[in-house]
Amino acid sequence: MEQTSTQTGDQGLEKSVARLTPDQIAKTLGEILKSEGGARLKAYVKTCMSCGLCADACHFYLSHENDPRFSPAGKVKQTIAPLLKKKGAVDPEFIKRAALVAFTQCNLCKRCVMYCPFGVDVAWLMLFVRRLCSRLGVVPQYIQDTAHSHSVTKNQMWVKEDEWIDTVFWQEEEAAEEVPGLTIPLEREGADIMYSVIAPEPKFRAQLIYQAAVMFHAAGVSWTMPATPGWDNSDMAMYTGENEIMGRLKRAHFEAAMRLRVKRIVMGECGHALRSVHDMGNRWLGWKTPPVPVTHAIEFYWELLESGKIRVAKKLKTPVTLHDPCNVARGLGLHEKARDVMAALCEDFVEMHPNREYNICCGAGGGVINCGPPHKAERLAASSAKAKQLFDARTRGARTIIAPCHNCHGGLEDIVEHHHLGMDLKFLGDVIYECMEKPWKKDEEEQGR
Amino acid sequence: MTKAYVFAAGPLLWVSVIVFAAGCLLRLGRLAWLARKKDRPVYAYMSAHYALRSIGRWLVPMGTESMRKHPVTTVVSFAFHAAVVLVPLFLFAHVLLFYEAFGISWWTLPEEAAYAGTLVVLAGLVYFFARRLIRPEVRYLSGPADFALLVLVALPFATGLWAFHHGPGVRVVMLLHVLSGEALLAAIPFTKLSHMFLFPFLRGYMGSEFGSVRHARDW
Amino acid sequence: MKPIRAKTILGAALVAVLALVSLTPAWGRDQAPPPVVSDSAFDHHRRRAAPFAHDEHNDLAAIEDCALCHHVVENGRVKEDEDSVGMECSECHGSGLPLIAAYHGRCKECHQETGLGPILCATCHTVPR
Repeated sequence: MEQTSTQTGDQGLEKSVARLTPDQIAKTLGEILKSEGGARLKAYVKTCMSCGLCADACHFYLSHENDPRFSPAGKVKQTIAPLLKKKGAVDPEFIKRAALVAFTQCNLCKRCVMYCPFGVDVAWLMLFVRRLCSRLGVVPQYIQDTAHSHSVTKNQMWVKEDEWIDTVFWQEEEAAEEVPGLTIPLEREGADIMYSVIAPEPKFRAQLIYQAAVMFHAAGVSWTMPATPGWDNSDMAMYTGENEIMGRLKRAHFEAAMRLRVKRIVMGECGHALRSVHDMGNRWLGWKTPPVPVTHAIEFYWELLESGKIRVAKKLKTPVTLHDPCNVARGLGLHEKARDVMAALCEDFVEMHPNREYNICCGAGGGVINCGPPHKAERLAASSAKAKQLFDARTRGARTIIAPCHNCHGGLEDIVEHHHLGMDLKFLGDVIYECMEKPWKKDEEEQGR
Repeated sequence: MTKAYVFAAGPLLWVSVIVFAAGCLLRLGRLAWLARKKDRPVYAYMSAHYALRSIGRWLVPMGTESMRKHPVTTVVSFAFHAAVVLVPLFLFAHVLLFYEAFGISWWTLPEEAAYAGTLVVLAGLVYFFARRLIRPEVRYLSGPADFALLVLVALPFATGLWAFHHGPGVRVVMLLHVLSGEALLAAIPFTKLSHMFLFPFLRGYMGSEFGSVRHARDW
Repeated sequence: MKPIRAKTILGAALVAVLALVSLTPAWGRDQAPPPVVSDSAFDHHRRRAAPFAHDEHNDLAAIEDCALCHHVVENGRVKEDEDSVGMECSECHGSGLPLIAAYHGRCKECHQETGLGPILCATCHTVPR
């Protein structure tokens, strides 16, 4: 076993660790462990029988040729277990290593939780380590910047309020050219649905807003989006362990929905945002379930297709496979609905194995891709397990991967390119937009005639 | 020797039983209190239905993906855990001693079954020991305490087997049998052996999280 | 390097366990079957009956009162000047656990009180199964 270098070139780790003194670490961590180190922390760390059964669950372990340091319990052994034993009195080098492990070697996908006889939640433990590191200011620079953006603008990408509104208008204009009479209703109080997206949509993938608008228009959905902060449902602060910021973000999100008096929130195809809205952010705010009902895009598409509000004109011919994102499958059990949607849209569906709850992680989630270029090589070094799974689906015909999650998209695109898999990636929304019946086209054709 | 045995099987046995029972209760109580203070979701999401669903699943051999991936370990583990609990509790000699002391008795294992169970326990421990040494992912996680724990569990069973066969030094071995059994009992609340009574709570909580929040399987 | 050492340890451990299991029943086989405590109520023996040489035991223990063991109990009291020599213990003590406990009560408790004589399972039931 060669020692992996901790020289990352990541200033968020290098510089901030250089500032730390052992006394500072002991004091800060000692305080948090005392105030937040609860029953789960103790029970998880102390009940682990170190049986190693979690190892096979982890794509880091599998991709690193079964290197035991990358097994879930192996990551606990390198981070929180000694930290707890020493009550936080560890040296700066330890903190750097722990941060590296917790931020870049675990996608928090919780696959290992399903393989542990006790259900020890290693993802929860890694998130706790992240929180400890964050309190010491030791966070990879890129994701820290994202969390800063959340804190300042309440969106992930430093999108200014007018930029958001401009982008929505721009997409409305474009879409209205295709679909006469289409609007993207900002700030329509009393609509049935508030549609929320993650900031990378207006920033990089504005066509997704366009497509959603077309779908909702065709289905006659009564919907709106807020023009104020709260339009972004994403949450990287959840992944840096800055729960306080997470709370502020979710509060803004829910309050926007309440202000608009909508019946529910429909979210775009994002995994981590669902985790934040449906699972973690609401808890931090003291809500057992979200105060405004939340529907993920998969479920909403399913409703639109089931109810016939959207009809499929022509099914997709290319053989496709489906990647079950951790946060929507293992996180909300939407894998069967996703398959129903696939069945309605695609002629040739190829399962990848394993699938559903057991699917292998894309390698990008849990904020790992958000740690940016300094860690990209490491991330791809841990991608062979996923690549094998994709390659297997490809040999059985699949050419397109449907991944209903932004992070998964990013991660899988990198994997496909790195391993020369020659597959392309789509969102479910892309396919629906492509295959749906568009009544206005008929009108146009008729008029043209 | 007689005096030492009488002391070990008398007052010392009481001590170990009290340490075991009080230790388990204290640890459970402390965790329950800590959870109330710092882990509110534990109480908020705990659901009897999903907890039992998960516990039940994980008590069925080969009932989970993890078990099916490791069939040998699963078989050994189930046999070991069944034997390690059943043999001491339902061994005729143990029940007889209890009957002579308190006039209460219960069903006992046939001698052949108890004998086989003891061998299963010891073979299981050898397997776990070997697994810790040989499998790199387990070896990496194993510290001296993990190996010591296996030895601690082995002692009362090995000495019991020895005494059953009237091996040499049976008097010393019987004393060791009683003492190591008591040490094992008293160690349960304070070592990783506490998984014995924490299992239903950990499993139940994760089952509840997966069932009622995540709507997904946790097996 | 390490795996080899691990396997050596394991091999040795396995041999030791196998040796223990396979060789142990041979211990004590060369003894001639001595007279034993017996009662017709014992239909099957969990352990072989304890060898018991009546006269030698009583000489050694200086027991002259037969009723010390062969007692007669009425209304929860041991009747003085009476003994039950010639009766089987099971006639009063029944069978199963109570009968076993009665035997153990006579032998083990006396041994424990006097500090003389065996009290461990294997020290009375000396013939392995």
